[in-house]
Amino acid sequence: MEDRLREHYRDELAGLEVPDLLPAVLAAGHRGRRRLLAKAGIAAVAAAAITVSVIFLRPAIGQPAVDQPASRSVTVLTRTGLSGWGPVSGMAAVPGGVWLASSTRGELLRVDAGTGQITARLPVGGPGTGPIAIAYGAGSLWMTDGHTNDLLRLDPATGRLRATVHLYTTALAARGFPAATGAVTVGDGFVWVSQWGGVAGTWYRLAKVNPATDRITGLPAIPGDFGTDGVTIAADAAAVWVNPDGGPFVQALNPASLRLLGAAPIGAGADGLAAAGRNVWALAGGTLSRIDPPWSAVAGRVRLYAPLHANAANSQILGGQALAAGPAHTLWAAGPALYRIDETSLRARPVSDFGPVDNVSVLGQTLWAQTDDGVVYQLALTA
Amino acid sequence: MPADWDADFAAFVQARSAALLRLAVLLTGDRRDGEDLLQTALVKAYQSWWRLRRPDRAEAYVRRILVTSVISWRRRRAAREWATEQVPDQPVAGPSAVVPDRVVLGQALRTLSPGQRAVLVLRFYEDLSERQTAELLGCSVGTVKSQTARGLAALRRLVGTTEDDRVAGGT
Repeated sequence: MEDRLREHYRDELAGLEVPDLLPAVLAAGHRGRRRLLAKAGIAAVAAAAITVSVIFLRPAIGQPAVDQPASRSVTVLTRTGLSGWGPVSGMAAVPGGVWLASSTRGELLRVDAGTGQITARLPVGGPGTGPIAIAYGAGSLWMTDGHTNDLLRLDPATGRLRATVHLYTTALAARGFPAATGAVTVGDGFVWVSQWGGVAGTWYRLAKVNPATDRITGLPAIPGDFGTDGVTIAADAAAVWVNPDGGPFVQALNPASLRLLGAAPIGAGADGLAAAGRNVWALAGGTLSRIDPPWSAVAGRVRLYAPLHANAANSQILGGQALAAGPAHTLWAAGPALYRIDETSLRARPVSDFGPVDNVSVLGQTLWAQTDDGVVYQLALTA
Repeated sequence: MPADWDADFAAFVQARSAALLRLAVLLTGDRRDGEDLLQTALVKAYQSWWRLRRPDRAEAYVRRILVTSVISWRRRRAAREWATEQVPDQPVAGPSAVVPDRVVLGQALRTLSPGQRAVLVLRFYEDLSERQTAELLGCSVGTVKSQTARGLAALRRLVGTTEDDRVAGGT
């Protein structure tokens, strides 16, 4: 039967003509993007998306609705235009500024908190193979390098290289195997980096790096294989949480033993994870889910906006930092607007006037938001 | 999206469309559905192109989308596609009425579950190992083994029955 099956497959494909799919694919890909980038349309689209989400998208049972846009709970401190810089693959607030990463341009860029000026512009790898993700913690900026697959440790004030950590994927890629590093985060005193590799993105591993020695102290495998876009990570003293892209579960690992503690279904791959004490929050398809210990179920949900579709009016590509935990039990989420969520009440409020937001990062009382039209806002958070 | 991205993406599509379409057609069992499936996968890849960065990642990504999407597609279409335990067109006696093997096998394949179809395509068209198939589908090697065995057994049962009928019918 196996041989007949092979023969059948060959017969099925005999004379198969390959149509030119490119024009239709490009048209579909461009369509949504153009709508958003049309200057006159941005405000209308954002307003429509908010209106729809408030009026029509009633949440499921037990889910509070998104409130109407309220008076601002933020104050704009600086506004920096990044016109033409392209999609931002990662953003990390640091003392005195914020760093932005562009994988496609192969650049890291620092915006100064005091002046709003760009004070550093560092080449990393090359166009298309630049920095994948960045995170701040343990006094350093950490970056996964898409060119070498290394983890780089940088001075957060200048971007100067402090250390290079060779990961498992570094050696694999050097030998010609498909392999790449992905997300990076800092929590529980360690730096956590995701890696994938093998045939068709066949495995995921999490590297646990000790910042005191810049050495890998653990390399747990992440169960499942959901795609090659990487893994979203959040970490705290209680657990390390991971979500392979496209995977409908958030898995919790014991940060010491690296054993799996639990897995909670969130329905779709996460656009962002944020740790808040013993809880973890997952933003997936416009819905924010709270997962409490023992991290085997979703404890609460709030729908912020409709899922972002490639060809719909709310087409948008979120960056690698779409969710951030803020002070006073707040969360901040990117999407068709900037969203503020109260952790306790699960009330969500879109913050008006910024339009679609791709990335958010919080440090202390400062929130940085990068909008889809390439502007970086520094916002002071108030009660 | 910058023009150089479009150029990179266009080069990828030009180079890999044929191979990807072959996989898509076998996964769906239909040329038109295969084209639709591949187009959907390519649009997703285009939207994520800035994150994929490298052709090897892009192809792995698209292959993965094809395999996972076809299962959800077929689930969604289950309401209007009629899966049946029996091969619908039974051959009848007489040389002129003999149903060609490929038709019988094709009909039998359509009665399999989406997972079984995907496993068989990956194992016997793509020639992936059990482990590679498991990795691509995101399941265990044991599941691949059982799905393969069940799929082949079902095909033997369905196709074998028609062969027996044909013999009994004097062909």
